[in-house]
Amino acid sequence: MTAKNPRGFGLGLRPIYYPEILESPQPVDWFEIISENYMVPGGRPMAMLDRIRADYPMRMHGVSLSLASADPLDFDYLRALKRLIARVEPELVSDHLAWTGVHGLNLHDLLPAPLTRESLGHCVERASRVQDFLGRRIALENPSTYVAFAGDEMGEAEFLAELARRADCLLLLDVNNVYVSAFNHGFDARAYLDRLPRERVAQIHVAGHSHKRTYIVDTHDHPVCDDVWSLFSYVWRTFGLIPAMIERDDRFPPFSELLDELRHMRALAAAEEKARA
Amino acid sequence: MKLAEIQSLFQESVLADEPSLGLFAMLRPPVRAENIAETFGVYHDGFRLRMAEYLSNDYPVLREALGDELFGALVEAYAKGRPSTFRNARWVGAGLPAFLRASPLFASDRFVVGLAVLEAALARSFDAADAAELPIETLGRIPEEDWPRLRFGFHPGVLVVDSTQDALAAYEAVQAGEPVAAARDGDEVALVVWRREFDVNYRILDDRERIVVTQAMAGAVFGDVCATLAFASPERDDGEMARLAGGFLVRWFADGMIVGAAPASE
Repeated sequence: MTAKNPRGFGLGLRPIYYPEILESPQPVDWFEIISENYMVPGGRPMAMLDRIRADYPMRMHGVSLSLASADPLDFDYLRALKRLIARVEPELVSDHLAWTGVHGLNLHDLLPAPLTRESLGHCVERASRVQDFLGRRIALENPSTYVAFAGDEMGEAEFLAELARRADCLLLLDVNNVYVSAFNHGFDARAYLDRLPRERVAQIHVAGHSHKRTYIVDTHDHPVCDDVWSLFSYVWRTFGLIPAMIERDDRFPPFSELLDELRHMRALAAAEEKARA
Repeated sequence: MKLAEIQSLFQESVLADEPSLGLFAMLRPPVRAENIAETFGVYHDGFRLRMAEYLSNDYPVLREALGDELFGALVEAYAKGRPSTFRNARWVGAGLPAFLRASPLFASDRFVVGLAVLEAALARSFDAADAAELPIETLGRIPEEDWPRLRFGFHPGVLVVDSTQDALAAYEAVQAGEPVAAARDGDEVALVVWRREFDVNYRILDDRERIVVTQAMAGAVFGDVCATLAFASPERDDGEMARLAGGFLVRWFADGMIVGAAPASE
C-alpha cells in the first residue's frame, strides 16, 4: 500500500442526509462513515450503507479503538471492525490517537493520551497489532484536546510522527483539531503542521467548532471558520494533494449548504494548486 | 505515575461529581481559562451531555413524560449505576429497563418501567438482524402430516414485551403530537414488536396469543402450541383451539414475522 491515496473531496455520511444522497447523484467524491454506527446487526443503517456504497467510494472512521488505553485491546471490537471492512471495502480505515476508557468502561469520548515515551511505546505496539489483525494499515487522527499533562515528554506532532514511523501507520490530519488544540494549549498551528511527516498523511478533515472565549471545543456543529480554511490552504500548499473532507455532526444544515462548503474546499485547493503551478 | 494509573485517575475524575485534585495537579495550567476545572469540564460535563443524548435518542417519549429535570436525574443515576461497557454508543441505553426495575426510585413506577420497556424494544427491533420473510403460500405446500412437528423461525426483530396501558397511551399520544396524560392506569399489556423492511410496528397481544407466540418463538412445534391453547381453554374443543392457533399463525405470516418453517426432526 502506498501512502498517497487517490485525491478527492468527501463528506461524512450522516443519516439525516440519506434522502438527498439517494435521490440523485451528488458532487461528492466519497463518503466517510463512522464505523461504529454500522456495527449493528441489520435494519435501515446497514441497508442505507449498502445502497450508498454501491454508488460512492467510502472511508471508515472509528471512535472506539481506544488505541492509547491501558486496557487490553478489545478483539471483539476488532473482529466487528474487520467484518465491516470486508463489507464496505473502504479506501482508508482510521481512528484517533486517544483512549475512551479503562477497566472495561467506555466514556464515549476521545480522551487525551499522555505524551510520554511509555505511552508512545504502548501506542506503537497496539497500532502494530491492530494493523496485523486487520491486515492493512490504519490512519490515526490528531485529536482535539482540552487539557495537557505536566509530565508530557514531547509535543503531539512529534508523538504522532514517531508513532507513524515506528508502527508504520498513516495519519489522518484533522486541521480543525490542530486549530482547536493550538488555541487551547497556546502552540503555533503551522509549526505543528511542519513537524508532521507529510508522506504519511493519508486524509484531511476539516470541521466547525464552538468558541467558548477562553477555549475552543471541537463540536462539528458550525460551518468551517475562515481561520481553519486558511490553515487548510496552508496544508494543501505544503503537503500536496491529499483526500480531504468536511465533518458535520450537529445542527445539521440543509445538504446544499454542506455541498457549498465542499465547493469552497475544492476552490481553495484549486487556487493553491494553481499558485504552485 | 504510570499510564494505567494516570488513566484510572482521569476516568474517575470524569465519572465523579467532583474531579480529583490529584489529577488537576498532574495537568498543565490552562493558557487562557481561569483554572483547569474549566477546561477539564469539557470532558466532565461532556460525558453527562452525551449520556443524556444517547438516552434521549432511545427514550424520547420517556423523556417527554418525565420532563427534563427528572429525566436528567435518571440519566445521572443510570450513568453512575450502569457505566457503559459498550464500544458502540448505540447500546448505551439498552440496559435502562433492567436498571429501572432494580432502582429503588423507579422500580414501583409501572408507567416509567413500561414505557422504557416499550421504547427499548422499538430501538432493538429497528436495527435487529435482517432476515427474509416467508410468504404465507409456504403453508399450503406443507403436508398435513408434518403440521404437528412444524417449527417456526421468527424474524430477529420480533420481540414480545410486557408494558402498561398508560405507557402505551403515552407513546401513542407523543406520536400523535399530543401531550402525555397525567392520569395513570398501570394495567399490564403484552405487546409484540416487529420490523418489516425499515418500519418498526407493534400491536397488543391477548393472553392466549401472548402465551403461544412466546412458546413458538422459543422453538415449540405447532402441535405443542395447539396443546397449550387447549390446556389454557379446557371448555373449548381441540379443533377450535387448532383453528385459533392457525389464525394466529396466519397473522404472524401476514405481518412478516415468520422467516422459517420446517418440520422438527424426530
